[in-house]
Amino acid sequence: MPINRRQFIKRGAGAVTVSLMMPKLWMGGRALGQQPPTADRRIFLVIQLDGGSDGLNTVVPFTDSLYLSKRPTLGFKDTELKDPNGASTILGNEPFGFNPAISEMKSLYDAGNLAVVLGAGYPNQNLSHFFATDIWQTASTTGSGEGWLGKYADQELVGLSSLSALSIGGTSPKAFSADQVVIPNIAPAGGNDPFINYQYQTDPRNAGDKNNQLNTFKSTNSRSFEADSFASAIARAGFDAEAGSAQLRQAVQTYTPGATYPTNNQPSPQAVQFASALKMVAQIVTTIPEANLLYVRLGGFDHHSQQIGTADDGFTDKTKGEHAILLKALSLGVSTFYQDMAAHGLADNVVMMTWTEFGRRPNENASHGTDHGTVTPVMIIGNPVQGGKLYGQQPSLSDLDAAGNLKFKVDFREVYATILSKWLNADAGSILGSQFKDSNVGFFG
Amino acid sequence: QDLFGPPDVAGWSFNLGWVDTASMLERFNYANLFVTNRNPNGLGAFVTNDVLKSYTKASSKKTVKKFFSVLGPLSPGNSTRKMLQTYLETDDNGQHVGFTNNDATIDKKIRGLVHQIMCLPEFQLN
Repeated sequence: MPINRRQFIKRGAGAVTVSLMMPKLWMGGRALGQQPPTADRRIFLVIQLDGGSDGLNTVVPFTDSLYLSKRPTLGFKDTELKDPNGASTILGNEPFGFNPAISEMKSLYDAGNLAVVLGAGYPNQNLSHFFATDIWQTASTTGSGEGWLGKYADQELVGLSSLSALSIGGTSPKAFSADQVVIPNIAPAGGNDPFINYQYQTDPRNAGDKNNQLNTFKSTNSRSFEADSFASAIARAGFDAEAGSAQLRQAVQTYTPGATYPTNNQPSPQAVQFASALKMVAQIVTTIPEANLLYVRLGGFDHHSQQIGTADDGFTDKTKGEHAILLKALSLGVSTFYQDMAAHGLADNVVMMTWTEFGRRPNENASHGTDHGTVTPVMIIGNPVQGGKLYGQQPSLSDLDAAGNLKFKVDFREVYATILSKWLNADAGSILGSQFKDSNVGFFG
Repeated sequence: QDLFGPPDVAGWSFNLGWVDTASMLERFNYANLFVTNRNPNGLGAFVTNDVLKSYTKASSKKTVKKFFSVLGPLSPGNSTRKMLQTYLETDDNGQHVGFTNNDATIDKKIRGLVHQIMCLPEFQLN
């Protein structure tokens, strides 16, 4: 009696644990080693803050009396804008201060290496996480179509190395969704080798057969299929996955850290996890000279309740709590990565951008939290940035929209356009639409 | 891919939304994990040699065709079948040695064959 695939698998299948021992695999190819930076190399790292980070408590408009009246519990007074060492986090003579948790980013701002774009948003903002995320990822207010960096990849990365762009995380970001190229995504593994799962694995008991398996796999997945068919796309993604993983795993072994990344759950597990992803980016960009477009994520910013404080302080201590933990993870990760890039001679070659799908409502809620809002500041970081300055415009707290949210002042696609045209030397108009062809927010001059 | 852990609250995307290099590599490696786990008393899915033996034929051609049927049915075409036959008939040194239906072949090459079939685009779409 014939049996089908499902029955075949059922015959021997119990509960499945994917974290069983993974075999190591020999990787062929040329060791790339650590490459000397080239003057014209341009690396762009996107940092997505998933969940909608509270912009008003990140770049704090502390002189605006309406800010504290709308945030009697959560709001920072000027006297509270100090880091743990007592240093002010107020931005020079500006009426803004950084949340004390991002003191490392304040140092980057003071050094002229971090710019803030205030008031970023778009018309008729959507307050749904997934819709708003899609809008930011696709640079389209319908949230549909390819990703904005996928469109860039379709124009600029076709025919180049499959490691020209990479994301680190559980899944590939929609921003990297492209028509002509498949951008690899690496899911980090715990332990000393975060890349360990990123390889084509074969039977550990028959290591001598691995080359036969690899050769067969490459043959069967490089066959010709009908153009634009699912089979073609799946074969291409599968083939690229193996080829990219082999090249990448060999290259990153030559990396030596140039900075000390957080470990041992200090200052928080979130900080260590985020720093691990950034360290993977550092491993990649310092050893693979064609890897110039990277993407990482820091999640958990949806602070509807207990945004500040802990149970010990009745959720009132603004220097503690969930938002402070995540902002510290961001700040520490970014500054450590910046130091690592500087140690590798790449500080002049890297630009980072943070974004989140929306800010929070100006009014705090009754649960020591904030609900979904609209506009949000965008941070642009790196030596090439004309930092230590604020760009855009802070929306007025006395001129809110009908729902009580901030009105946007800078279309976020103007930020993208500035990066595309001034840093990535791409045609912003064809990627974002002709209305953004000549947009320049100014953070590159 | 975690069935109950989609990338966002909209759930898993349709069509090619679930296809990227990381997810494909994970699927290939999951297949390998399944097919190389021989321990019926341990954790995880497993395949015994007896199960594999019951579908293994005297020739490599008939064996590949049988597993196309068992794991599908799949019809990837003659060129693909020949690639897999070549795999079955090649030793660790890359030499063509032919196919022998015995326990050693089943534990090594038939497990490899199942992994290779599970890595075919036709299997992924089936």
